[in-house]
Amino acid sequence: MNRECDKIKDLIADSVTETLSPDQARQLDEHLSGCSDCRNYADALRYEDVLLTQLVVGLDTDMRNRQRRLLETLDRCQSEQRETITKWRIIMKSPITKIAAVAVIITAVTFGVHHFYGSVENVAIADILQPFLTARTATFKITISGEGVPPQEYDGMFMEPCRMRHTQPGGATVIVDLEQGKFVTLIPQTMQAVVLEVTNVPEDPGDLNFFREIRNRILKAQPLDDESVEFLGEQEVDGQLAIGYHIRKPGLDGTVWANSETKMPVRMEIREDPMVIAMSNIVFNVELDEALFSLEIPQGYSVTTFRRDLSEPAEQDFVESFRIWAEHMDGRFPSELDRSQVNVFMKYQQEKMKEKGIEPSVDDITQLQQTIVDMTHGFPFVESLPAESDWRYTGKDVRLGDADTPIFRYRPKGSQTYRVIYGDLHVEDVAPDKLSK
Amino acid sequence: MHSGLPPFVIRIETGFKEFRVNDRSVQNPVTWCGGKDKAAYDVLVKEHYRHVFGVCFAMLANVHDAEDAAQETMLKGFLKMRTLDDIERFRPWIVRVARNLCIDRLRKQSRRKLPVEKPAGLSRQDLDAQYDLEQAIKRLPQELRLPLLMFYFNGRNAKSIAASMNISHSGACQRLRMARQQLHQLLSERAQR
Repeated sequence: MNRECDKIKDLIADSVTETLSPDQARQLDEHLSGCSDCRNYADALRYEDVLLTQLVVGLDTDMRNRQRRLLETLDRCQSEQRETITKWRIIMKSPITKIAAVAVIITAVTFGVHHFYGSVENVAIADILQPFLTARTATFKITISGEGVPPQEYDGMFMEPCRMRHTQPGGATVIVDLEQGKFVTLIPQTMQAVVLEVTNVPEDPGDLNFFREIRNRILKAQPLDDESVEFLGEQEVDGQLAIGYHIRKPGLDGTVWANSETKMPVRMEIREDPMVIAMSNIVFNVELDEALFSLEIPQGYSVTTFRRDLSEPAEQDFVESFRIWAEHMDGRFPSELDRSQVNVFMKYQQEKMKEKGIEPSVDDITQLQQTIVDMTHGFPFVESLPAESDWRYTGKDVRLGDADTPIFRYRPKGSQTYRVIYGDLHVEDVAPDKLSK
Repeated sequence: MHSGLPPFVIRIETGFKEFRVNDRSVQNPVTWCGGKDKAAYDVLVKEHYRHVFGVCFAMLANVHDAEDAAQETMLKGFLKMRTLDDIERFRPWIVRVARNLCIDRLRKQSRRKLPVEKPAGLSRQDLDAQYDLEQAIKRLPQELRLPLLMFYFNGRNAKSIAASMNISHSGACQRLRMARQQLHQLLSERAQR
């Protein structure tokens, strides 16, 4: 190897890049014919060129899938936009489980075991469900799907006693710690943190924590008798040979699949009309770092805090919801008591902001969000009323302040009289024969 | 979740920010789609995604990180499309977004090391060679790794490297030459170990 070889090495590299002039190419060929070192060097660089080409070809083979995944993500965004008729949307939910149910659960835990092992099939399903009841930690994937809506996926983590973390791929992370009464949502893309401080967390806060909710539902479904459990046989589920059971009980319409050999749950699907919530990739008792559930806000994030009362809404909360509604809707009450009505509220507020002709400030938006959170606290009261309460809503054309016209009536359990809420939001006890028609 | 009723979710959006607060569990609190014309953006994705992925891979030298970064870049692009006056400038604009995003990731990554996955579909010998190659690529300095990998992503076109890196053609050729020589050096060192 001589000084010329050093120059030739540059030419060799350029030849692989195909940027040699004809003269340089000739010079290179001449040198290579008489220099084995440079020939070896040229061979090595050409081989590396092949490897680099193969590397990119290999990456290209999955490029279409990567692009598809991206377009699907964009579609999700788009369909959510489409779904949002207004700029804001609310879907309401009924009140969570009553305290009375806690007693049922305790009963089930204490006495249910007997029934749990009542039949051959139930021995199997008991084994399968056991990890959901006893796991200290778990990691899993949650997929929520519904007709006409793209599925939403989350990576979930659970840690005793009631900590939960779930992350939407490429999106926000939500950390829930019910002991601390906090939900922290971290949005890395916009460096935003949304903190929801909750008070009056119920004793049975299952649906605040997905894993706990599954656990609670399993407990509540006890005893699992032959009538409520259907053996679905054996089939491949998520790449594993699995046996499945369909459980049909009030509050639990779900399918559980477990590995045929280990009996460890592979997949759990719960039907929540119109949605199906699936839990897959389940790993129990995995070592999880406590820091994953830290409620500390990372540096640089802007923080918006909301407060939410999680107590079971009572009549006064219901009245307060009417008040907030009417005050923000120019004195009108909802046309009907339906979940979709909250969309009407949103749209109206949006129109009002548009009319003002100015972009709302962050404080305006935050204030409105808190208003919505407060307003929606009381309305689920109506969903807790049983059919025999004979409730009726008549507020459609009533204006706030109308002390003579009732907007809502219901009969509390065991009461001889009705509770009647009027347009000025005072409440009276009224005998059935005195009710206005 | 609760029997018979969907989760209570409040979703609040404005033109400049949007998020969703769940009454009980704050599920899916965020969507961050700001762009309006999704169909038009799909066309841009199809046209530019591969290039953006190539830039991300060239900078991060890891397939999964590159896919994440490319996805984040394109979503960011969708969100911020309205700030782009001239659609003709989309390519350099989105590449700049990708590069900034990768720089951020590299800073964070310096605290953790990820294993390199071996590509499938190759012989054992080629697999090992590919593995060594990826390790060596990772060790190339950024200013050489980017033109080298983009050369292969851009159909072996040195001129386009010059244009996208805003350097002269001879400058691009020189970097490619140095990249090849240093890569060979790194691979030789690995082979001798």
